[in-house]
Amino acid sequence: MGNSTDIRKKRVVITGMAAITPYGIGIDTLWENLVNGRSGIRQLSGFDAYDFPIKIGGQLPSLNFEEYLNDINIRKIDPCAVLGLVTAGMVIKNAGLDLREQKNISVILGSAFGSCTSQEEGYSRFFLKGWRKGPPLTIPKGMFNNLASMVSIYYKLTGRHHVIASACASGSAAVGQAYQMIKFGTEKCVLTGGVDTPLIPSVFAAWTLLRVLSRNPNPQTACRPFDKNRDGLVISEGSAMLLLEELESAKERKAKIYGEIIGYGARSDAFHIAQPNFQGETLAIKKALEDANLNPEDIDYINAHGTSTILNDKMETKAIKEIFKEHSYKIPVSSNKSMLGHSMGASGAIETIATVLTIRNGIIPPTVNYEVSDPECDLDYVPNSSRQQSTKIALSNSFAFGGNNSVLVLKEYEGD
Amino acid sequence: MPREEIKAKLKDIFSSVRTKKIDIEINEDSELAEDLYLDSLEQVEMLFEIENKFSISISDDEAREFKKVKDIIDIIQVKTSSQERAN
Repeated sequence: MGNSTDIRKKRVVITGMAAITPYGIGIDTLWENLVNGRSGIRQLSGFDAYDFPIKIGGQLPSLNFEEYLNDINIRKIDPCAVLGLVTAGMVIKNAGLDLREQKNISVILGSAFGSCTSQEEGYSRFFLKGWRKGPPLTIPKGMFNNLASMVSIYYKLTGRHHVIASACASGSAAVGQAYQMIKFGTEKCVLTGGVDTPLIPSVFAAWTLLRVLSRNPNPQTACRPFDKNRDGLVISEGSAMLLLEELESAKERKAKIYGEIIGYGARSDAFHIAQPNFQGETLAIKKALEDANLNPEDIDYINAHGTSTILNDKMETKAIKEIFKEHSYKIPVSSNKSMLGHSMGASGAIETIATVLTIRNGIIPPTVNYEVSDPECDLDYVPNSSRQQSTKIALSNSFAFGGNNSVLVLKEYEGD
Repeated sequence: MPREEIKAKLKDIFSSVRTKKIDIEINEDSELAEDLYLDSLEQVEMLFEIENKFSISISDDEAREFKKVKDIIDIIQVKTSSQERAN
């Protein structure tokens, strides 16, 4: 008789990847810019009417999404969902999926702000013009699940679909949830990732008032994770998605396999709504290593959360040292946000893809703007230039407001 | 307001509220859902646009009777002409 706790765990592989970032469209564009240490931060356009003291962000370049969604009127759809629809189409194509044959695909996406543009429009018309002046479709366009629902509806994907809201760890948490669904056998194929479009005036104002944004006016140097002179994060927008599949199903359809997810740890600080705490982060890293059945010494690289706020970078360093002890000084740790800024709920997914590419290409992207060492941040942050170094197993950290800590363990795919 | 003028304005409204990009000829017998592919949400937005563009108010009961383009034109004619008389 079988033991009811003896769950046969499946291997979870990545068979598709796509990203739209401040660099532009595609994972090749993302990778080429990251390894060359180029900043995607720029002067914000469209914010001229406001007297914000901060005028920089990781805005997407001007992109023609109608080319990708030429059968629908994209002005009818919330910008977050438009970005999600385009990215989903790209990942489906990248994975070589034939949706006529395979529809039983789930959609698990992360977002910190979801359809904030539609909500902003709805509230502003309500307060400025009164309730009769609409817009009438604020509920379906502004509801938080709109993003995943639109992807499911447009591509006719009949698996389950959810939006995971875990603030800045949303993208990572979505990938983690998707990984667990496949690992424990409830799903075979999940489209996952994160999308966020927070560069709208009301959200930008709220972040400004929170006093956590960098006041450095120079787009290239404002985001400086782990540097002693860091003074806050830089907000970005973006989208990244991965197709996760159960290994056997991926092999059956002869899919290209980019990498494998072998562990996930999600733990809570249970401490403060905004202030990071190394103890919760430590628990998440520990949980991820346990899930992957690894020792700390097995980790070759850490893709840091690395936001460039004074507290985050200090706490993340402390958490890494708590787990990895002396080995922490031998592990390269770098922050993609030093170049891309913080794309909120998308960042964990973008960084998951960057970590997969780090493993595949044997090159570690740098932490740029690292100039002055901070005694409280004393690890190897791969300063300013990328590094050729073989990486087989890596962590991707995402730590968020609310005390949401999410850590993924990624591994080179080595076959059976 | 002449029926043709109302119909031309309605055609613009239908295009503006429809998510799918399709070019459809409309006539007075066109059915909103069957022929013009306007789903329930798009019809809600259509009502909102009609109220704004023609400066009229359409009740839920009146809206429920809308099946064909001519039903809408009829009510717009009635409501705009009563407004003109009131002015």
